[in-house]
Order: sequence, then structure tokens, then C-alpha cells
Amino acid sequence: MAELRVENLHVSVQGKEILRGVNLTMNEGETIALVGPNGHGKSTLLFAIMGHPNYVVTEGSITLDGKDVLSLSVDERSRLGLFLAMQSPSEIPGVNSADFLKAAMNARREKPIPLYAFFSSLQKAYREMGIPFEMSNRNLNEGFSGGEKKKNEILQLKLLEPRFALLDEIDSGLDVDAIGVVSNAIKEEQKKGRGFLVISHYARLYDLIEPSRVAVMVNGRIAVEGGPELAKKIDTQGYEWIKTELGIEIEKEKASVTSIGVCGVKEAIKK
Amino acid sequence: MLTLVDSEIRDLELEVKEGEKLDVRLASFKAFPNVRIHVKIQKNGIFDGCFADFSLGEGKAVIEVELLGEGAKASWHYAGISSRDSQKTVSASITHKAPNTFGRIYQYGIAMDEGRLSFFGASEIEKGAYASDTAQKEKIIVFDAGAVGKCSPALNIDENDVVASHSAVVGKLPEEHMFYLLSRGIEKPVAKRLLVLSYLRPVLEHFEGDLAERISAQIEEGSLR
Repeated sequence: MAELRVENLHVSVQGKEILRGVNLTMNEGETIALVGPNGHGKSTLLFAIMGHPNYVVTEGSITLDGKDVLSLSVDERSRLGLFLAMQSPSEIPGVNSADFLKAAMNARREKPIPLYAFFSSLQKAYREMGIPFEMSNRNLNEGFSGGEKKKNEILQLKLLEPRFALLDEIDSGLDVDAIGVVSNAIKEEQKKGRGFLVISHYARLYDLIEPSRVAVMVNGRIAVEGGPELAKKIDTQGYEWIKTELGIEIEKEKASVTSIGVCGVKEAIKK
Repeated sequence: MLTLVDSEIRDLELEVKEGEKLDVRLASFKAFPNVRIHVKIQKNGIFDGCFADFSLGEGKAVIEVELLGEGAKASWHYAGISSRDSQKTVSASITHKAPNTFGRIYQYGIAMDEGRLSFFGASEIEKGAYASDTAQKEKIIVFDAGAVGKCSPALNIDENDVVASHSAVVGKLPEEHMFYLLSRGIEKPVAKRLLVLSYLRPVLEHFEGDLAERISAQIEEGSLR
């Protein structure tokens, strides 16, 4: 069984240490909810696993089935079976969505996918995600609404069939119908044995996709892991109990953390 | 329509007569042309020039446009790549010498490998050329650490009651765009190609038929020689 293992991971962003020794192991077919207060390193962990150049690993290891992920380039990590659904997918002017998807699918095949097979799988994925097929002819994410961008991330997940998918607030900006579509698609992919590491601020998504485990990130470390009941507890009680029950002082969000990603900023607005 | 593909002409004098229109299409796939094109435009004449450049080499291409008669219009559009050890300079000027004239300079380029690309642009409105409208835009994306891009836009305005603007950008490829493509498993050369394609594709709109196809193929496949 495939296993994604993060050990003692330290990550710095612009010289500032955000992750301070993360330990987390994910098995194939398992869904882990990654929760925690804003600015404590949840997105940083996902970006570091995927290999974003701004997230510098200073210590620790990431392995997939024993293979050293940190020595691989971003595209090699993807082809090894990692997928990151981003919170704010880039709009890429001039890059046609279908061309992009074809390039991504061909990247993991020895021979280029035959045109007919490509279009039929494309059509199927668009239909299942409830995205009009005409949008495959539009520029990648350009002018897409927030919800369309998120659905487009899951559409890519379906086509690229990763072993482990990292979802960064896939439900933010989605209306109720879209959350239904996205969570159904995730459930279908869960059945195929893919592992999921899912960041969300809302219990609603977790209710739908039923994570097997919950990991709470505090101060750049996994403070506590537990079963699904942990997500419920946080949803009703917040994070205060971490201090009283575990004796961990929750550090306040730092301004420098919000400046490196949209995440913290967005969340601050949402409150 | 005047179409020149890999032309070796060094000096080209053109005149657009009163009320006429001239389209010039240049395309280079082999050696960068050391060429000077001089265009005179009479009353209500229209000049539309466009250069798609995928050549290699060293040199300077110069386009000089004079708007001599009232109501004359000119536009110049360059899109190209300076790759390997190419050293290219593209210099475009539009001089407004009559009232109510219109001029546009658009130059878009990619500097990659060890290539150098320099854009000069000069928009000039002379005394007496009132109610004229001139603008220029230059943009270079520098793909690689060894590549160099330079833009020098200039506006010389010697009349009131005119509209004039210019902008120039030299920048790196947006890191987030590259990361997004790579994170889907697309190899770096292919990702670069997709981005080159996206950047130069607008030039295709100015070309037709076989030449458009050839440019398209070049953008898609030859851009990373």
C-alpha cells in the first residue's frame, strides 16, 4: 500500500520558519482532514510537499513509498502521483485549457493519448463536474468564477489520477450545489483508493467526504491527531481547548505569514 | 499587401499615397534581418506593419514611419523570440508631422537562453500636428537567467491638444504560472512552450493562410530550438 510520509519537516518562507517539525503519515485510500488556526502552516505543508520554490525545506524528509520526494522536481512529484488543488489557481492568459490538459495527461504516458480518447475522457470529466464543455476551449482559469476554478481543479484531479491529492480549501467560494458536485467527485476518487489531505475551514465539507483522521496544525507542528470527532469538536468549540487540554499556547498570526500567500488574507476577510 | 518572408532586403522605402492602405507582413525563420524600412504616409493613408520573428542571429531591424498628411494612420506590431546567443534590436519610430494623425507601436518579445532583445520605440508629435493620437507598448519576458531584455520607449511631444501614452515592461516569467503547469506533471520545456505560445499567439491574428500556419507551427514547435 502506498504511503506518503512527512518526517520532522521544517520549512521556511522568505527566511521565516513556518513549519517546525511536522510529522504526518498518510496511507493510500485514507482521507485526512488538516485543520488548525490561520497562519499556522497548513497551506505551507501542502506547497512544500508539492515543491513550490518559495517554500524551502531546511530539515526533515518527505517520502512516497520510501522514495525521496524532496530530491524530485515539481513535475516529477506530480508524475510520481502527487496532486495539489490550489486555493487560488493561477489564471494563465493565452494557455488553452484543452492544450494544457492534454500536455498534463501526455506527461504521464509513454505515447501521446489518441485524440479521440482524449476528447471522450475530457467530455466525460467536464460533464461529471458540471462544467460546460465549451470551457475547455477557454484560456486556463482566465475569467473563471471562483467556483469554476475550484471545479476545474477537481476536473484535473479526475483526469490525472494521482495517488495522493492535497486539497487546499477546495470548498471556499463554492455555492451549495457546487459543494455537492465537488464532494461527490472526491467521494468517487476516494473509492478508487486515492489518498486525500484536505484543508477546510468548514465542517460541511468534512461531513460530506468523511475523513478517516483529523490532524490539527498548531505553531507549525501537528499538535494532535484523532478521529472524525475531532473535526466536530473544533467546529463547535474552536481551538481554545488545545491550550487548556494540551497546554499548547497558540501563537498569534504573524503579519509576515499573510504576506506570502493569499490564504491568510482571504481568511481574515472571511471572518 | 506586401509579404516578406526571410527577405534579405536591407533598405525598403515605401509610400502610402493619399487615401490608400498598405499592409506589410514580415516573417523571419532563419537569420535576423538587418533591415531599415522607411514609410511615408500621405493624407488619410493607412499603414499596418507586422513582424513575426523566430530567427536567430545578431542585428538591428529599424522601422521609421512618417505621418505626413492629415488623417494618416500607422500601426506597427512586432512579436518575436531572441533565443540561443541571438542579439536583436528592434527600433520603431512613428513621427506625426500633420494634424489628426494616429500612431501605434506594439512590440512583444521573449528573451531566452543567452539571447538578448532590445526594443527602442519613439513616438514623436511635431509642432503643428495637433489632435494627434500616439501610443506605444513594449513588453519583454525574460525566460532564463542568462537572457537579457531591454526596453527604451520615448515620447517627444511638441504640440498641445494631443493624446500620447507609452508603457514598457521587462519581467520574468510569472513564477506562479510556471509552478501551476509543473505541478500538473508537465515537463519544464513543455511548460515553457505553452507559455511562449500563449505570449506570441496574438501575433497570428495579423497573418493569414499558409504563412499563419507556418508561424503557428513555429510558435508551437520551433520556439525552443
